[in-house]
Amino acid sequence: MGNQKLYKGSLQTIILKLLASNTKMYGYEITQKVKELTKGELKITEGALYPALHKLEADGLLDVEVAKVGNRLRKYYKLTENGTKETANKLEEMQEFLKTMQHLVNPKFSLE
Amino acid sequence: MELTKEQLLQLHNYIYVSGIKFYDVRTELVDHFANILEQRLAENPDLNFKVEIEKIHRNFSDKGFSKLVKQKTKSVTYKFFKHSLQHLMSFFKIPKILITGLLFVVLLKVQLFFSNTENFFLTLMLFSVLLMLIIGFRARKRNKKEQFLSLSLTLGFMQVFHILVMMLQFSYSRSLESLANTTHNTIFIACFTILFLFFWSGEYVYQQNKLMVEKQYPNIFI
Repeated sequence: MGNQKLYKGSLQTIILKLLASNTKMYGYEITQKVKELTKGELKITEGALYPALHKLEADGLLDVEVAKVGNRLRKYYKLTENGTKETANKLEEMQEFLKTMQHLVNPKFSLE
Repeated sequence: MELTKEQLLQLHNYIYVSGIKFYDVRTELVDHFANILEQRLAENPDLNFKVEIEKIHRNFSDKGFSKLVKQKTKSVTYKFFKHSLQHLMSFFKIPKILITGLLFVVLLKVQLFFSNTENFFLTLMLFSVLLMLIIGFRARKRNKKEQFLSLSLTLGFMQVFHILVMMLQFSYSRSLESLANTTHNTIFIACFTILFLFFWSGEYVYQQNKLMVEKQYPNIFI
């Protein structure tokens, strides 16, 4: 998909937004949820998702919880207090970005 | 269709030989691979398990697991320093500071009972070498068990102790004149006390970090 590159810079915002809506999620669940919400338009590769999750964890925006599920362990991610604040900031930035892009590509039909 | 214990073990081994030796990094990948495999096997139970694992690995990223390991190491290192500092702060409470101060005073007094000062300092040196051997032995023993990235960092940090002991050993080669000098002897005893404190606090931090890992990964042999 050619537009995958356009989504690349928004990966962290997507993850934060999903976690804000779902309390806690695990890696595979995030990939499936994104696929479902975008009707297959956006596919997050594991090679991009996990480093992004670990980066957010290192930045103190995510916390982890390990739980036993069936025969194996599963690592869940959830937002920290700072993560919740950062999500609001990132979403605001995203809205601004979308508005600007809208003005640029289609000045007659803006989001406002 | 849930994967069997044997299939999960096969998956663990595959990811291990692909370069992910730390259990805390591997767990997440095993779960991810297992989720995809369960979905594929539910659709087609006749699929070759090993071939499917290799396919998922190929689709993971152009660089395999390297980017993941790099970012994970960064994240664990950040957490390691954060938690270790917290544990270290909790270690340095009044009783431990008093015990350390007491050790310093006791050593100063004990040296007076030795007719030959050189023997006293040799005993101290042997004791610090013993502590160094304990660290080396434990690191060897711990490496045989399931390895965790966070604990591996603590063990690496403890290697600093080896360097300090070596430095102390170097300073042990003192002249008779130096051994007769009270200030030199006091400095040497102070260095030994600090070294002992370093060993004690390092062990404390390791045990606290281990407790945290055990809490997160229960029933795993650490």
